[in-house]
Amino acid sequence: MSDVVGPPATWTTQIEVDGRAYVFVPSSETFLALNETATRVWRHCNGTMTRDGLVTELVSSYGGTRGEVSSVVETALHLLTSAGLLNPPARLG
Amino acid sequence: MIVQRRALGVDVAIRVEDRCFAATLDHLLGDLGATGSSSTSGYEVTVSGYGPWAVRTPERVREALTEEGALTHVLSAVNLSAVTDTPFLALHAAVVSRGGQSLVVPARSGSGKSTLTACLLKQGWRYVSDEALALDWTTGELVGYPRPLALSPWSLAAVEATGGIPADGETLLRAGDLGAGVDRTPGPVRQVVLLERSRDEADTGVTVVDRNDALVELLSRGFTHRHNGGRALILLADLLRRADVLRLNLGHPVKAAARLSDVWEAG
Repeated sequence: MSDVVGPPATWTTQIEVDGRAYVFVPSSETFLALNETATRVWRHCNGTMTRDGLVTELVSSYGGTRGEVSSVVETALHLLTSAGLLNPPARLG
Repeated sequence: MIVQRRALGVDVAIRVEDRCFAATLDHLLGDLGATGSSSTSGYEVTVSGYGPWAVRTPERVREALTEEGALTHVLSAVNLSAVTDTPFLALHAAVVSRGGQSLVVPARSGSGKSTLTACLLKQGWRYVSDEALALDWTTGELVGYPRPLALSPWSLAAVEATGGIPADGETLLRAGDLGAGVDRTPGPVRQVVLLERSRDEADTGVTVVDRNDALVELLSRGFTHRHNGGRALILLADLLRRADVLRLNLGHPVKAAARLSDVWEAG
């Protein structure tokens, strides 16, 4: 689990309102409203953070076990990637 | 005779054969800005006949046996052109203003927002629009769209309004018919009010809610927000950061308007 997450696709426009991120997807002309969990993951998808690092960061900030948080992160990353918001993850090494 | 107006930045020219019908249209659309030129470029509507009437738009020709029906066809066409072709970011909402600041009620058709708007106008608010929250794409400043309000017989009775001009199943009113002024250059948004239907007419409670509820509501009510979705997000987020977001149980509209006015004054 040493994959880098992100970076966001270059065309995304995002804003945050009271802890929730919103992204416009020009190709489909749709607006995506991320829930709080997906927003927390999305904030760290900068192209340098690894999945392990992301889990560590979220456990530290919000609590929970690594197993629980890892599962949430995987689900969120899958949704963000499926929506085309993330470039394919690069593999280190 | 040609009735020319600017509706949400769209120049509209309505060519009318029947002078009486033209005078009615000229009066009803009097709160919209003039085009300020003799140009007929933009959206054109032609109304021919003296009864029955034929209403011709670039999209189609519709016939009306009554003047009420012809009015409805013309105003529907003008409104559709305005919200579709407007150069502004436009979202489905009612807007009124007081003291240089604005109150926005995003809601779908049939939700009661025009009736609530009419009640607010009777209680001293100024009319901006019962149809569109319009923002300049560059500056984010609000733009007025004071089209005539269309009230059902029930709404007319609830508002206790008199006068107006009959259309198909509705009465068309200008802000002045409700004793209100028009605000074509409204100030910044201070409150966004989300409507919730209440079965209890006495229940006109107001609660503070999350700004996210307002953003989701606004985005689901957009007319032109997809033209530049990224910019729309930025403008709406900026608007909401400066505004309070409330949820209103829409019981009786007169009581609901009074409640909103009280909350506004107390704020």
